[in-house]
Amino acid sequence: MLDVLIPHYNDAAALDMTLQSIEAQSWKGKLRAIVMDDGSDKEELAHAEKVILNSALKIEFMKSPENRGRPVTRNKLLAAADARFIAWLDAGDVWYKHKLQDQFNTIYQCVYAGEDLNRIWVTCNYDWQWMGRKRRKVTQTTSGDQLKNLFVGDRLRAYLWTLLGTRESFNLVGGFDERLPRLQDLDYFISFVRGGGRLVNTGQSEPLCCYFKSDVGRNAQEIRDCYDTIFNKHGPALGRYGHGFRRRSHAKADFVAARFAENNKRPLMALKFWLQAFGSDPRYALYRTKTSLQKG
Amino acid sequence: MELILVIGDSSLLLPRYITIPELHEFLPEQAVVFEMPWYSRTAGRYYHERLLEFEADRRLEAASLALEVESSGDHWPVLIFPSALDSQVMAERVAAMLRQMKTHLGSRRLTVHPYRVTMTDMAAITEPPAHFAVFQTLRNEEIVISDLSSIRLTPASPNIPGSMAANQWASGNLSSFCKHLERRGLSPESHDRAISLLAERHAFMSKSGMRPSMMNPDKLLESLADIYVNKFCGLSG
Repeated sequence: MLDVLIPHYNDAAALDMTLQSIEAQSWKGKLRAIVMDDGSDKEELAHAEKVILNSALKIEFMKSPENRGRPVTRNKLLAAADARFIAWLDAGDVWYKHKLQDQFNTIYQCVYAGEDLNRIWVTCNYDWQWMGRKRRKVTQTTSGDQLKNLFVGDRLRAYLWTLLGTRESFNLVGGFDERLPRLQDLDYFISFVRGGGRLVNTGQSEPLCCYFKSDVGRNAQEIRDCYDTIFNKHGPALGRYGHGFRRRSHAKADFVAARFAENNKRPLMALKFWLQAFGSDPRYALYRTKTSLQKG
Repeated sequence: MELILVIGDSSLLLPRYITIPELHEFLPEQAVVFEMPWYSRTAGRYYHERLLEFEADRRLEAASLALEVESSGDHWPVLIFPSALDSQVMAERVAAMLRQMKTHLGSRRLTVHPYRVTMTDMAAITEPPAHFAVFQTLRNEEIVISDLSSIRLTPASPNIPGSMAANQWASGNLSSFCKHLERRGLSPESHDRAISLLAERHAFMSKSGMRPSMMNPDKLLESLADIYVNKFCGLSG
């Protein structure tokens, strides 16, 4: 009835934590986890196999002989799924106890309201936990123009592990874009909404899962390039909101890339992205600089 | 997929008389009372008779999906129909509902295990109810209905919730209580209210160590009628 799709790479301890959060769900329907290892080192792979053997969940374990990247792994997971419903969770992130139950309840409400289940994804509010900082709740706002909100990325964020939907709804989007080593979630969400899909929140104000966020080890330039690929791919949709919006989106992407560069101790690269942001949208860049300074 | 139907007395099984944890006390371990999340909690998400008013909306479709999604080998959904024994019409509606649900449940075999929950002096589940014949009409459908006459009824736990016993007692003594009131020149504002009053008294006496079910009902009801008159009308004493 439900397949939970989990990509894993070189972090068996995190996988263990993730699987435990699935085991602890209050929803007790038929569930299978499909874990795909994306070419982990020998030692981590052996550890992951042990974690899976010790789990009480029904798990299908797939292995890739080499590291092919997350979009390829996610496509393989999607192809392996055959349940009516699908949920995603990355090794290292966790669901809270009532996540699935609340999301399924929303699905039933949608059926009652006459919605086409293959055109909706149920998302939820979540906690955002930066390493070494306090956990904070992030609200997913599904009202308003969802496409615009996805491009902006403040009110509605594209995170697969918040979702529950039918397998058909995910297949309708097609696969994950394998040109995108990062931000493939964003591309996937935009494609879904552009194709007539709609995101629905559970109506629960509490967060239902937790994202453990770290920028460390991530390539800022790669992230900025992925933004460009997405902006080009969805150019007509982005253009619908005017030049100003396009410039703002580029500036925002520069700020995200600058943050990654900064957190990976690449100050010159960070500066480059800041300057790019000033070039794209000086007003927005000034505003961001001002708020940054105020926050210290 | 197993589906448990609890068919019984409306004075016991309505959501205002019994809570889900209380129901679970006499249901099998695997049973999980099915909640309809599209209703607000105050409206009683487990008042399944709402499923019987299924004209022109998708409540059955939603319920069928939810039943299928929520159930597994280890968990059997429970539906409660408090009035299905009170009237043939309601029993027929339950049967019609099952037929309609079948179209949404796909080709799964659905075995319906009927339970009748009755309370007789704190005893447990008794014989199968008379209206079960109506379910036989489904025999030739994809839904497989067990031979109802030979169903082994699982005995209920002796730890029957107090509120159920109180409601059962109140329901059984309602007409005598009303007669006592009439003799005092009164009629109760509503049967529901009278049942509540009786049930409250029963619960109070049980808590105080008395056993109202073992007492002479006539004398007890007479004194309760006096209390009722005194409390609500200020006419006695």
